[in-house]
Amino acid sequence: MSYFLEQLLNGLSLGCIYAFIALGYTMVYGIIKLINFAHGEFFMVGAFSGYFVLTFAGIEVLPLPHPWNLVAGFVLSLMAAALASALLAVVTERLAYRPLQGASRIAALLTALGVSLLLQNLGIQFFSAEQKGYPELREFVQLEDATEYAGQTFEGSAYLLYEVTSPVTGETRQEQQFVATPGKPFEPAGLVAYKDLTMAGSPVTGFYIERPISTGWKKTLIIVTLGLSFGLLWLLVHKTQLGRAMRAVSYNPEAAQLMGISSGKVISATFFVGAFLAGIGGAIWGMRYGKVEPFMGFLPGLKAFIAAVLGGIGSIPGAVVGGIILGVLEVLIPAYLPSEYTGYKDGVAFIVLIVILLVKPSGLLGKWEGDKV
Amino acid sequence: MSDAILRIEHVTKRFGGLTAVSDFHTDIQAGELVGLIGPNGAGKTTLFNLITGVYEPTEGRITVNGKPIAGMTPDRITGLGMARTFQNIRLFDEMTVLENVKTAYNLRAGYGIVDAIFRTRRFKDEEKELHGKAMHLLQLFGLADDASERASSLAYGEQRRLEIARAMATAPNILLLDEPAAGMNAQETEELMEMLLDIKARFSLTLLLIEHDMKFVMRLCERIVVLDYGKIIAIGTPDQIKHDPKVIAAYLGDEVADEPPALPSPEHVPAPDPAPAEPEPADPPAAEDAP
Amino acid sequence: MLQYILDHTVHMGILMVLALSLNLINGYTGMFSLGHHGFFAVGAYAAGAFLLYGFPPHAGLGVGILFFALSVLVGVLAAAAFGVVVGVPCLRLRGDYLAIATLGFGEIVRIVVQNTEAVGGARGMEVPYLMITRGVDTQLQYVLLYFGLAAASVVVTYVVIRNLLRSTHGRAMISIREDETAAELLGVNLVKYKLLAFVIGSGFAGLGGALYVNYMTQIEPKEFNLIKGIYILLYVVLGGMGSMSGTVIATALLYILDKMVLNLLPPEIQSWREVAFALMLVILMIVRPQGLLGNKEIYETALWRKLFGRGAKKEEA
Repeated sequence: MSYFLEQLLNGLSLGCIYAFIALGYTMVYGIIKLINFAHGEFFMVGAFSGYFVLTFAGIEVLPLPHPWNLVAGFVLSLMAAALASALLAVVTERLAYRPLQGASRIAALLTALGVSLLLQNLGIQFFSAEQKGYPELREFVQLEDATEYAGQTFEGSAYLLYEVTSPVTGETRQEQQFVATPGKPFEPAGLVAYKDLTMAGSPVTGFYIERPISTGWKKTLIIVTLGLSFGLLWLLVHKTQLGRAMRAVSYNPEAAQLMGISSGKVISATFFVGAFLAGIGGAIWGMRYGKVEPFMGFLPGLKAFIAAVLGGIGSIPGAVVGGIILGVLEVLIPAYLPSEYTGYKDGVAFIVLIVILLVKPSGLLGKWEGDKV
Repeated sequence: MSDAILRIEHVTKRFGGLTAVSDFHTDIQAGELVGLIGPNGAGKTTLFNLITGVYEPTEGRITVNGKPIAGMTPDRITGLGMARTFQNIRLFDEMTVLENVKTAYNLRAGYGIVDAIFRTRRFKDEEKELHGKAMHLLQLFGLADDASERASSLAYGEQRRLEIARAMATAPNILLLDEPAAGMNAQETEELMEMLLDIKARFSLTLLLIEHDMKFVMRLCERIVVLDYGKIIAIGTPDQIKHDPKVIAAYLGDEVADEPPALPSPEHVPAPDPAPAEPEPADPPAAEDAP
Repeated sequence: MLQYILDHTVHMGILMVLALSLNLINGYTGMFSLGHHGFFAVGAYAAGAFLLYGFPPHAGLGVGILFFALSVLVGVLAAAAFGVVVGVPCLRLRGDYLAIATLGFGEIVRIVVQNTEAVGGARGMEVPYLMITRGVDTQLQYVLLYFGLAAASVVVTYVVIRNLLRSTHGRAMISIREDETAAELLGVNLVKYKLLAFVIGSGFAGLGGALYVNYMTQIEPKEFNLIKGIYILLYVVLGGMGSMSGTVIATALLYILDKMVLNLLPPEIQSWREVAFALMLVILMIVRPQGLLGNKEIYETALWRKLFGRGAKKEEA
């Protein structure tokens, strides 16, 4: 695959994650005109939730046929991430933002900043500041012929499954025997196809490789997840009563109230949905980049906000468009600059921000709103 | 060229698909006292915004004191000699009454930043003079006793007076007043009328005011311009306007009687709230803090 | 011991300069700038680079003093120039957008210095001592000297900003905070005054930066990050956004609390320090957003009058 295409795909998958986070920003801004700085921390909490689920719940060893155990693992981590994040958001909104409803914008912004710092530092207290490795989704592939792989090195481990019958109880159980270590060349014993191998006197029943799923797969999963989520979100906003209520409150809170819409519930629901998506983004980030740590939400959160501004803050399609464009730019631009400049990759987002604020502050898909006299 | 102190030539303002003001064309002569009336949403405040430079006209030209204002920022237009007050009171709440007025002297203040920082002789002299002028103005408006009070602590009627006093501090010869009598009772309205006539004479002003209080407008103004849906539907003296069927129709709907009915008194005219929360619907929906 | 206290007061003084200058932009002119750490960084790095590349190695005390003064000038001018760079695009922005834009600029500064090897990149920059071994011989003298410089800086910053505020220019800036549109329609030139606020605010932040780099002689990019910027903002907000004396008091209080009181606690509790500060910010905004003094100066409060029997009711701007 050409360098350009490869980087483009990288950029798209990063952009999808930004889009996930940006959606939450844009929805909350659209409804209460608040930049929720803490949104990046919802993302972080999502990532950590996914981490905990995958590390401790041991999904992959569920006795499901492959690849469904993988999918189950993936989906469960996403759900855990999304729910944890969404619940945190609703609690935050109630405790920290609701009391500030009539207050000045600066007060609200500062509170959001404070909440963001608070969550980051609580994260450090509870999770420690070190990075943790996000468990990879691993697939188990059954291979037909061990000899094909002679001399190769595997990313994961390879092992043979064989049955052993206990001479005492007569039960049979499956045993596995590692025959290759990650990184070292595989030397199948006697260079025969596995079917003819025996281990401890019993015939070998299967030859498996266990490895992390390929990055191509990962990127596809990301894009598919985003597509599905965006589709569901669109349905929610346009076809459900809740969605209509959300749009009504965002256009005109007083009128919506007069029509019997409880703006409090709608606001909570918006936070819920926005953080739900951010949580999914967090789990996906963990999967894509392999590590989580309490500060991880800060910079992506900021960039996702910039993406939301780029697309037009308050506009849901804008968040997606902005996220994807920003992700692509952030990957492609440093990819074509001389290597001394790679450190500036973080700067791309900020340059984009300044440019869009100068040229079209309402964003690519947003509408200009002037000042009333 | 005519003596017109304010020329509005074929001005149209469109916001996307919405035409707020359409082909407004009028000259205002020095010393006139003109009223601008029309139902809610007719485009009156939009017109004020156009004249003061808050909006750029989509078509047409506006000239203030002989100078075309196209492309000028509002502060420069004020510098040409035109000031305005607002439909919703927009005082500087956290400043004192005196400070509110002093602020309006900024564009005529004679000292620079360096003078301020180093407290030069020039700074002291100018500030003293400025203080004197501001207090004098406050006295004229009956607000001198409240000079050190926070502007937000004043009664409603006093706040309205302060707004006018503040506008006067910019030494205008044209004063635009947006619903100055809003929320006032009969007595306050009387006092306001007297005050306006007084300052008009004292400062040789030209007054243009938007109002919904018909009695007030009919008694005070020499000439009245009537707007409906952004267009002028009548211009004339109060008597002419009173009996103009187009005006009556605009205010009351499509009823046209054989005999022109009596002037619609304020009770019959759909009156807005004294201090309307929203501006006229003709203005585009906007969020206050968006850039 | 004395040295320990003096060292802290130097840091505190620099923070006061930063907070006072931020208050001019945020508190008095009402612009929500979240990028003040960027101006601080520009001042520090400009002054530092000037010293690093310009200071002749074996010069004496006189040259040392000259270069100190020059480096301060460089820092102030560089920061003020950057203030224009930031201010111009931000003229049309309000509220949240302005906050994010200024935050962006602050981050851009950090990223740039982090990636510029000429000023040390991520490792940081070391500049020559100007005073030590050139006439100021002991640690104590060094700290004492800087104590004086810091105190002088605070006083200068305070007086200049206060004098500016108590003038027509100050009234213009405050009117922008109160009601920008009304102000403009009363003849206030928004462009001029918004830029003025940025330039003076950033210039003084540059002063703080120049002082900082001279005192510490070693700086690294992460000392100029957003957290620093938020701390400075916290000082301003806690003190009251329209109050200069409030800013000074709040900076002193929080600094002492942070660096001196909390240090006395056992380490396990200390690690909760940032949590505590963040929580403080949140609670402050919910419970008392106007901070300690709101927009009054300390000598305008009833408490002062009770204690000292005199003071102004509300000073005229």
